[in-house]
Amino acid sequence: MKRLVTPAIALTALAALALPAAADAKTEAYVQKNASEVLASLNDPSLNADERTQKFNAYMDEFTDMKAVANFAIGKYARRFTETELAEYQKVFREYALAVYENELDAYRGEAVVVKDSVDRSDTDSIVNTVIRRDDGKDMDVRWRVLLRNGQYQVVDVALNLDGNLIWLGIEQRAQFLALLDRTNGSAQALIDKIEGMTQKLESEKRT
Amino acid sequence: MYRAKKREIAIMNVRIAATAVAFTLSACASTPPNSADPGSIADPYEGFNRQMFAFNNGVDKYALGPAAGAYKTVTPEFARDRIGDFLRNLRAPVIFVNDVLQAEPSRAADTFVRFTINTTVGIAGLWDAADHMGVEHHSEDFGQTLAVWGVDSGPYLVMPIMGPTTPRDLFGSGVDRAIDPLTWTEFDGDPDLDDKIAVGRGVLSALNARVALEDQIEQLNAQPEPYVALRRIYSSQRQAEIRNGRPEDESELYQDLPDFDEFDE
Repeated sequence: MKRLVTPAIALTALAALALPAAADAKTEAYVQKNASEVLASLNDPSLNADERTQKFNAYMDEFTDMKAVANFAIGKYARRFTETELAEYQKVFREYALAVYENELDAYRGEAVVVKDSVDRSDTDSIVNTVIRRDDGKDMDVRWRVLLRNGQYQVVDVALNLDGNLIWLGIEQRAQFLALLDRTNGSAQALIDKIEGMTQKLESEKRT
Repeated sequence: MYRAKKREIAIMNVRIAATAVAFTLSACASTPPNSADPGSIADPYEGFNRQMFAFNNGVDKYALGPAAGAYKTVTPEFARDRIGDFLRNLRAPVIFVNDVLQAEPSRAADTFVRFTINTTVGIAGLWDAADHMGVEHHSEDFGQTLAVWGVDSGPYLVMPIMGPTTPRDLFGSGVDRAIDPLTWTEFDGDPDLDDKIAVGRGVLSALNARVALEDQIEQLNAQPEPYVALRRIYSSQRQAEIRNGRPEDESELYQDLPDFDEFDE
């Protein structure tokens, strides 16, 4: 009996070890392919500004889990908003996030995303380290938090390494949204209005 | 007699800073850097800080911003770069002392080499010749030295004109001024010249810095909560500076990342 158990345990242990490794390679490939596609979509000269935005948005919707990011950004308030407020907020947040990403990533359009390595926090949670080369020689250290949800990989957060200071954009956004909601006593409308204002400003700065 | 007065003023600066430190540190519990969230820092004086933040925004909007705009128009980028290099070179002695106090011989050597090359080959510091030779600039201050020695930062403070700081960093800047040899230099012919130079240096530094930070300030003001954004970026950036940009241990870095599934539908 004992002799059979030990190999079984060994096998399960091996399988557990194998899983993260497989997750590593898969998440890395996922980020490599999709991040490059996103940047390439911004570089297509045959598209006008609106078409470019549409293509970019389509890629981003698939690449990132917008709902999860939106809910994360308001933390405990996700449970306090009414259903209509939450739906409205998610819609407004998505538009804002897409506008932010388009403006920020535009600077890197056409650039190659090079995957360096990745770290697995669990079977379904990894961080992929990439480098995006820039024209001025300064390489951007960009890290992607990839979750495996319902059998699908999706990006939920991005971190930039600025001189040793690792800044997770989702966490920064959440800190500010929570501060705003705390200040306005959890007013969903105040947050929605604020986000809409920021989106309008971003859209006016978009490259035509 | 004049020299004694200068020394008095410098000592007074250090005393004021020290009192500020004692007052604020005694008023609250220690605030160790939070490795889980480097952006978080204790802010027990938030009410006061927000008022100072609003005041600084006003000064920036109505005084410093427009002045920097005029400076930018009147001074071509080439000249601004030379001025910037010159002013930065003047800080080398203070940076050197802090490198040594932090037991960083290689960084201290870099600073020393930079100062020597830039002052000579770089013509009184107007050109950052050392950078072209591959010796990069790094900044240090006594606030960082105190942090390396294990002194707690204390709570977040926003000072008028000075901006975001902490009691430790505030005290540190006082000490830096005392270390700076330019604080003590006198000119025999004209006793007021060194004061005029100090003021000129301060004004030029502020204008040059403001022009350089234009984009960042715009981005900051576009944030949903600029006060919170500034506090967070100050805190996390300071900690990265103290570490001298060295990466944290990767296995620890991601340990406390938040869970995304918590608030799922």
